[in-house]
Amino acid sequence: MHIKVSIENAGGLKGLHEFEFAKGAINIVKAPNAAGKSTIIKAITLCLSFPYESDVLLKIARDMGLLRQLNEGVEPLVHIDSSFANIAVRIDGETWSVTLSKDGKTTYLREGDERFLVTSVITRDSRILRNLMIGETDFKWLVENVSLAKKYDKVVTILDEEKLKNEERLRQIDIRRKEATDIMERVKEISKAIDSYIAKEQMLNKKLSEVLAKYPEVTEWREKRDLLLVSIRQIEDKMREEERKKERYQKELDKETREYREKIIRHDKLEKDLAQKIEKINLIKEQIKEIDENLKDYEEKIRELHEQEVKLRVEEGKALAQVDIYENALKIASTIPEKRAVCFLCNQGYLTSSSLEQGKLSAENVLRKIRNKIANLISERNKLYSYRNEKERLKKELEKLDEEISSIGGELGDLKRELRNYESTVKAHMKRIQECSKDLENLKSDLMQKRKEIENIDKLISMLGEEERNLTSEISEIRSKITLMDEQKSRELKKLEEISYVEINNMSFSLEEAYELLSSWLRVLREAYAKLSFEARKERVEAVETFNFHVKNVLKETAFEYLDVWIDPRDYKLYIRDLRSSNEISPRILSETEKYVLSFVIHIALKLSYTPRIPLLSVDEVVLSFDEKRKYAILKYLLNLAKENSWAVILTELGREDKITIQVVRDL
Amino acid sequence: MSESKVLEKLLNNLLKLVKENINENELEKKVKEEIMLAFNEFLKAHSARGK
Repeated sequence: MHIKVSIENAGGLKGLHEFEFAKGAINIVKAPNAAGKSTIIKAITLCLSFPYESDVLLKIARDMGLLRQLNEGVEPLVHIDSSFANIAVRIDGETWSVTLSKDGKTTYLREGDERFLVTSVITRDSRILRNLMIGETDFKWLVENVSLAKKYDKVVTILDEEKLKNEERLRQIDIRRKEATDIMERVKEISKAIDSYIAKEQMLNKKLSEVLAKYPEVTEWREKRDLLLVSIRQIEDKMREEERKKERYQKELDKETREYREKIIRHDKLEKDLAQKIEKINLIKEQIKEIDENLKDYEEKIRELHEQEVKLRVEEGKALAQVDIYENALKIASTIPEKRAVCFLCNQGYLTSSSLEQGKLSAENVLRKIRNKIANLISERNKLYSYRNEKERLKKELEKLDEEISSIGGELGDLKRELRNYESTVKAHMKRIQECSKDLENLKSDLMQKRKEIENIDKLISMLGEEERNLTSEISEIRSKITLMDEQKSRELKKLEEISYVEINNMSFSLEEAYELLSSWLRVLREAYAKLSFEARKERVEAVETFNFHVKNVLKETAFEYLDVWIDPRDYKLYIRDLRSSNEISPRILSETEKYVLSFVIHIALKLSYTPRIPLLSVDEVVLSFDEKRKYAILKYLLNLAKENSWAVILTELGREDKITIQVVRDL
Repeated sequence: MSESKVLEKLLNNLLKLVKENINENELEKKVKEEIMLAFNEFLKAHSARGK
């Protein structure tokens, strides 16, 4: 019974290397440093555990001392001269194999058990030993890695997420349900309002019918109104006719009045003229009478004046002759010696020229006086003659005035007649105008009455119309409100329909169904969550209990019977009690060898607890640290384990030969 | 299928998955699939009952 391992280009092993490890025995791999001892253990562990790609597994690999540096991944297991490495492990006819490439990719033919990392490899660099070295007692990480608790936790987390998702769905559906209830409430209110509006509309329609029923009366009113309108038009025509007539009469009256006034004026003027003329005649008659009375005296006086004139004419002749004498004497005196001439000429003696001149002047004065007298006489006579002429003139004037008076009198007579005619005509016109006015007044009153009647009819019709309009408008308003509300209701119902169904995995459910379904599903999830959480806790407790059970046995087998070591499932801390003193002790106070052995014990307990069926246990140079006595006891215990469990225990040891040799130990 | 049967089946399958030798990502994927399948079965059963 062998476990066959084939390693090609892995770590320090260039080319293909094949190894066989005997089951039920200890296989000591011997080789010098850097010959590939650790590579064999790492290669087997890698092949039987799990891809190193996961960060968690890398961390575990580091924790277990398989990777010593932070950046040390899978790559170092590929030989420096090669681009890939192949590892295959064959156990009981089953093969695990993996191909590693330099870029870190791993290709598994068959995946192993990740717990193998924690349980089946014992190295000097494991975290267990490091923790013991520094006195760190928290081993929760170990419990988590070796048990299924992490997996349970993972499932619980997923269930929790699903639960939350479902709760959120339920919450959304509940919101929708509330929304649907609100919509239903609103629809109910809208329906109620619509019903109330419909009732109101019916009432108004009834009222409108009542109003419309009154319309036959309105037809009568309208007919009457039409008749009244015809009458009004007729009256208006008549009134216009009367107006025209009145206007015509008025014009005629105005014209005749104007003419009448002109005639009156003329008449008055004529009467005035007549009076003046009569007055003038009377005056003339008085003048004539006066002239006639004076005329006798005038005639006498004229004769006297005539006689005086004759005398004066004689005197004038004499005076004129005298003047001529003097003039002649003066003429002669101018031609003859002064004295003689004067003597000659003057019968009155000798006269000087100056005396002649003076005589002449005096003669001329006398002549002048006579002539003045004559002139006065003539003037006076002419004056008297003028009286006579005046009488004649007055007579003539009197005759003329008589003629004029006669003419004026005729005209006045005509005028008076005409005026009398005018008065009667004007009176007739006035009467006609008055009649027209009266007719017009009557017509106007008639018109007013008819208009008032029409107004009343219009008022009635208007009132009825207004009522109808108001009702129609109110009905239309209510109708539009009903329409709006119907639309609103439809919208709400549409919205309700939209939200009333939910689709879950392409299946349609009503809100209530969906709520019930998801609530039910949530119960399933909650129960699954509770169950898995419980299983996770149980798994942890069981893991710890199994570990504690095995650790106790291993302690006994490895001569640590004086120690009691256990992990408390409440805090996952490692507790150590010295049974000799019954005191709990810190790992720090243990000796270094004790820490190494305790680390080994814990590893073996882990292997027994969690992967006893994987028939491989690798111990990388750990045993080297033990003293011979302890080493013997450990090897004996390992051999027993190998035999009991049919494991192949692989130990690495520093060898002196250049090549790798495997020593199979079946007995000590 | 009743609620209790769905729960029982789901629990069995989940426990089986936990015990299966699969990595975390695979587990997550399979658990989600399992829950989805259970939910679908549940839906179908519910829908059939509703009808």
